[in-house]
Amino acid sequence: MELRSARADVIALSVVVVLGALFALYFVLPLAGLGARAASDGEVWELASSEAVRSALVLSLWTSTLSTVLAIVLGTPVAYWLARTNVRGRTALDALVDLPIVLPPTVAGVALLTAFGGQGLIGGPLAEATGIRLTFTAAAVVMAQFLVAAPFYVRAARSGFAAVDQQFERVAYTLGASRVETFLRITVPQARGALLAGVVLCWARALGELGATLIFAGSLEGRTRTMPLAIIDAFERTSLGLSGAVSMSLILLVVAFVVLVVFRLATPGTSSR
Amino acid sequence: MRTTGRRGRGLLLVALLGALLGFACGPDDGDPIVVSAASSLTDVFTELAEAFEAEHESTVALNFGASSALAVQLAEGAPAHVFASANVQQMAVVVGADLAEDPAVFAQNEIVVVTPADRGLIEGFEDLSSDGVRLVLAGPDVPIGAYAREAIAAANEALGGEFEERVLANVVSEEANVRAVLTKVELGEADAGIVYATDAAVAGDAVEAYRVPSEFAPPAEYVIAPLADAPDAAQAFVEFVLSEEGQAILERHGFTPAGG
Repeated sequence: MELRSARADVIALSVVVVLGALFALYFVLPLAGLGARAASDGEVWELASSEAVRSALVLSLWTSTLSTVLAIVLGTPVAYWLARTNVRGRTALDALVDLPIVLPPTVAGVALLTAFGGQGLIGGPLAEATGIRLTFTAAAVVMAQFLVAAPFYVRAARSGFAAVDQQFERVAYTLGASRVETFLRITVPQARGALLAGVVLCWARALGELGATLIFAGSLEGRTRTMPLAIIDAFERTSLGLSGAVSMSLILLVVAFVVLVVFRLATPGTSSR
Repeated sequence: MRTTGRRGRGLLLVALLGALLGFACGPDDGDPIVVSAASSLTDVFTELAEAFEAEHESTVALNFGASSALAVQLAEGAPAHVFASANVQQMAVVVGADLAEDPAVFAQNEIVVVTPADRGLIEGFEDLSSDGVRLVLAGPDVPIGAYAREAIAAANEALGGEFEERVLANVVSEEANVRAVLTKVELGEADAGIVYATDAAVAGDAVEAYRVPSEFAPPAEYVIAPLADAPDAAQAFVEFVLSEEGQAILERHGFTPAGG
């Protein structure tokens, strides 16, 4: 009996090891593919310093950062409120905030067009009254990224706030701290790990945004063509071609890696998880 | 009792998965001929494929995209049996990669400026240089994007020295293919776009079309070729497109027949 179960353990262990190795291999191979292509194709390095790539990277970095800042400013109150409130319909609100996570970004793009496009719900009257048209502008890029990425921050922040022991907040109040002071000095520091994780997720999602941007903001070098759009464009154009796409993919890979490392260093608690 | 119930459910699940898989694979009547064709051919090739299937044993699978994107896919080893390009240059990419030979011109198309139907801002190609026009073009390597830029450059001298510069300054987006350009104009997001006459016809009343003067824009030429190692049916499809029947279908969709 014992022998049988020991054998079962060995079998289970080998299955786990094989599955794990397959999983890891599958994640490493695409990276190896990029590396191999870069090593054999000198054009990849040449294109990395081209104006098209530079302007896409700059645009990507500032738009994704701005979207994330907006997510923090506009999303933190909502996240805190969702974590504390018990009003009826909270579940529905929760779901509403989570919706863009589940929906394909292309849906977000079409939805943005119908709301803020030149013929849209808000966009139509706006264009008529002020002449301002949002589509095809950098503002449209930020709007697309914000809609798709902000829910990742709000979701993480909500769980972070919910996990904070309210006892501490009450103690702070009784010691005479104001609500704002308590929030900034007690709640936020305690939810720090979750908030940072949310910021990184949100920023990464904004950086990778493609579908909504393509539909709502279009694609023009230096104005709305972020890195993901430039990669698609490079792939579809014979002049930059796959070499250009590989080049930009590697740059994004390095950027993402640096951000993850910085994030790990900033949150020592989460790195040993 | 409980175990049999579970086993029953497990079997049901397997059966369902099997059915799904069978459904996904579809009826097994041989592998289809994969045709990679320019976006502007979307409607006409769908009809051509149906007509071809009605007369032949084989089925046709259609893959539409910008000819430039399709050419890159093919050069990178995408499996396809026929390539129909909206210009000679993108076919040359595929021929240069030894994937096709002897392409045949099978149709021609006119280049037009389209505007949203209700906007009186632009009434012809010459107006594209007006201030504040939000112009959408396809990317420079997409055939319609290349045709459009050639026409704009060709008109530069006749329409005043800064025409090209001013028109290109009005470009607000470079789209991935001709149908994406058309959609942006149909939605009214762009004030103008440059597409083929056949695309403008597809959009119907939603857009107004103005022919680009032929001295600036000679008709676009579509070329087709079977790809290396393609089955005989691929050659048959190419011949069908060039046949009287195929050419009649192309003409009905607004293309100028060119084969025969």
